[in-house]
This record gives sequence, C-alpha cells and structure tokens, in this order.
Amino acid sequence: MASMALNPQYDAIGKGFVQQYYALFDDPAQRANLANMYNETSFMTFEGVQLQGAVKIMEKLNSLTFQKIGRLITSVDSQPMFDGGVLIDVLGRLQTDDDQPHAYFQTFVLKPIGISFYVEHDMFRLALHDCDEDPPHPYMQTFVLKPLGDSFFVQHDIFRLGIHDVA
Amino acid sequence: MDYDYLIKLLCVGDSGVGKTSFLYKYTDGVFHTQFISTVGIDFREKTVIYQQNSRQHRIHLQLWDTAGQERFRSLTTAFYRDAMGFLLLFDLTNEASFLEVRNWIEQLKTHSLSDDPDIVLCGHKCDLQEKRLVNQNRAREFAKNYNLPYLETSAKTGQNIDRATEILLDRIMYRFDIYIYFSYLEKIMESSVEYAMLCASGRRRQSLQRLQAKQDRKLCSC
Repeated sequence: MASMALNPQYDAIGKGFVQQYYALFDDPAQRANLANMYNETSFMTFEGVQLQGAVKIMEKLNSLTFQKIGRLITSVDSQPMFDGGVLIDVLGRLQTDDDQPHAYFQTFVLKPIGISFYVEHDMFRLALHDCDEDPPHPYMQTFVLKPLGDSFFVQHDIFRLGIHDVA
Repeated sequence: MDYDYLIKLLCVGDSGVGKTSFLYKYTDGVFHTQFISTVGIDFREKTVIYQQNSRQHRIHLQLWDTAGQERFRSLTTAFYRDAMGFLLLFDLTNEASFLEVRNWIEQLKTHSLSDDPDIVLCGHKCDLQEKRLVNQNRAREFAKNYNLPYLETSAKTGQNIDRATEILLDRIMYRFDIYIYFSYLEKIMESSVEYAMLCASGRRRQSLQRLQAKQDRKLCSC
C-alpha cells in the first residue's frame, strides 16, 4: 500500500514506546501484559537465541530469574520506516536484584496495526565484551537491509557509542 | 605482592546458588571486589600458603565471579579465559540448579584450556536442611559419574568452604607438577608437545608410567 508513509511522529512514538514497554517489563506484576505487544509472527533475539511468536517470547521473559530490575535509559534513537513502522535502538543500563549493573542494547521494530503498533522485531544484548583492552569504546550499530536486484542496500543505519551518563 | 604462583579460579553455577557469598566467606568477609564492567567480571583475591611435600609455595588466588549475566545466559569467552580451575556450585534447596550442573560441565569443557578441566562440585546452602531438595546420595552419585570431587558447603556455617578450594588447588598443583615433569622430560628426550597433550587428556597416570619406562630404557642403553 503506497499510501503508508513515513510517520513524522517517529521520535515521540519511539520514546513513548520504550517508556511503556519497560514500565511493564520492570514490574513483575505487569510483565505478563507484554504479551499484548507481540503477535504470533514477532521475532525476538535474546542473547543470540532466536524465538518467534508471542507465546515463545513470553516463555523466555518469564524464565528470567531475577525479582527486581532497576533500569536507566541512556539514549533512545528512532527512525521512521517506509511502511509506517518505527525502528528503535535503546542503550541503557540495568541492575537485577543485587547484581552489578550491566550496560545493554535493545533494538525494536514497531509495525502499525490499526491505530496502534506491535513489536515485529526485538533484539536484546548485554554489552559484555571478550576483552577489556583496546579498542576501548563499545558501540552499537543497527542496519536494515532491503533487497535491490540480486543484492541489498542499507535503508536504515543507527550508530551509538556505548557511553553512559554515570559510571 | 610476592608470590610463586598466580592461580585464577572461577566460581560458576546458576544465578542465586550463592557464588558471591561462597567467595565472600572464603576471602574472610572481604567485600572489596574489582568490577570490570566491559566484560562483566567481579573478582577478589587471596594469598595462601600451599604446602607441597617439604616445599611451601605462596599462591595468589584470583577468584572470579560473574556479575549476574548468567541470568541472561550471557557469559563471554573472556570470563573463561585462562581459568585454571572451577568451583561449580548448585543450591541444595533448588533442584533446577542441580539439573543445570550437567550443562555447566559442558560449558566448562568447551571454554576451558583443557577438555578435562579441574572442577570441584559443591552442593551449597547445606545449612538449610529443612529446605533441602537434592539428597546427598543423588549428588554423590552424579559427581562420581563425572569423576568430580563433591562437597556440601555452607557460607553461613563456613562448612567445607576452605576445603573445597584446597581440593581444587591440590588438583591444579598436581597438574602443574605433571606439566613441569613433562617439560623436563621433553628437554631430556627432545620429544614434542605430544606429551603435554596427553597430560591434558586425562590419561595422566598411564602416559606418565609409559614415559618413565621409556626414559629408563633410554638411560639403560647409554
């Protein structure tokens, strides 16, 4: 449908979604309601493990063993997508129970459905690295490739250094 | 600080089994840890005197702890790198943590330097007798199948905390000795690293005996 255009509200949608999503995620009593954000085709890649469908995604989220989770969002980068969706990159830090805090990256792709959105893609990674030596800056970069002839071109590209406001 | 050996030990097991309290107890209640956030490692240190035959060694232990990332199934290879031995903990009051031990052993085999790593299995929180869900015989039987020493430990009472680390240290020092002996033999016999490989594959004793016999023969012929 050619009329599906870039949504000019993409930035507010991205920030609003992130706030709403984590409000549910971080409250154990409400976490189950996250199921409403996904549908049966949604993809999740959680620490490299790929899952599909709201049922499997919720099984994964429910299997996490912490009780409390504290979170600080460092940045939310959004881009409008050509089908009316929104691509969102989140850089943040989280703390589960009394563990040490960890930086993390999360990418969402929202797709329009009626007057709302659902999560079509969700990728989560703790920002842990194989070595603490040079090069010193962790970073996150998200690409969306679109097919072009027998190849691809980069339709979306978001880059962010993994630097946070507090140590 | 002066020491003869620096030994890096890893404390692993499911989240919530008590790894941090185990290490806290072992290091005499030292809360000071060094946290390397980029790799998600928390470590504390302790120097011990190790008595071997008539010799005393000063051993500096680096005890590595995870920083909670195992909740996300996210342990990087940096965590396992250069580890010489493993304290593998499960919670006696949590059956799932015992069932996961098998997976942890596989992880350790995959990531450690040797395919036969030195591991001491600890059934932790043994002070909580009324809440215990894994009985001793079952854990013992399991450990026997994997040829691992098994101890029941408690950070609350201190039971077997030092002992578990000593047993692990014994195994590591034994392995060091063999490495040293093999490298000595290598010099004599100008043989290749094949022997060091044999040493790591768990057939230590037989290969050692074979080498000794070989060396004896060689000495006889001169």
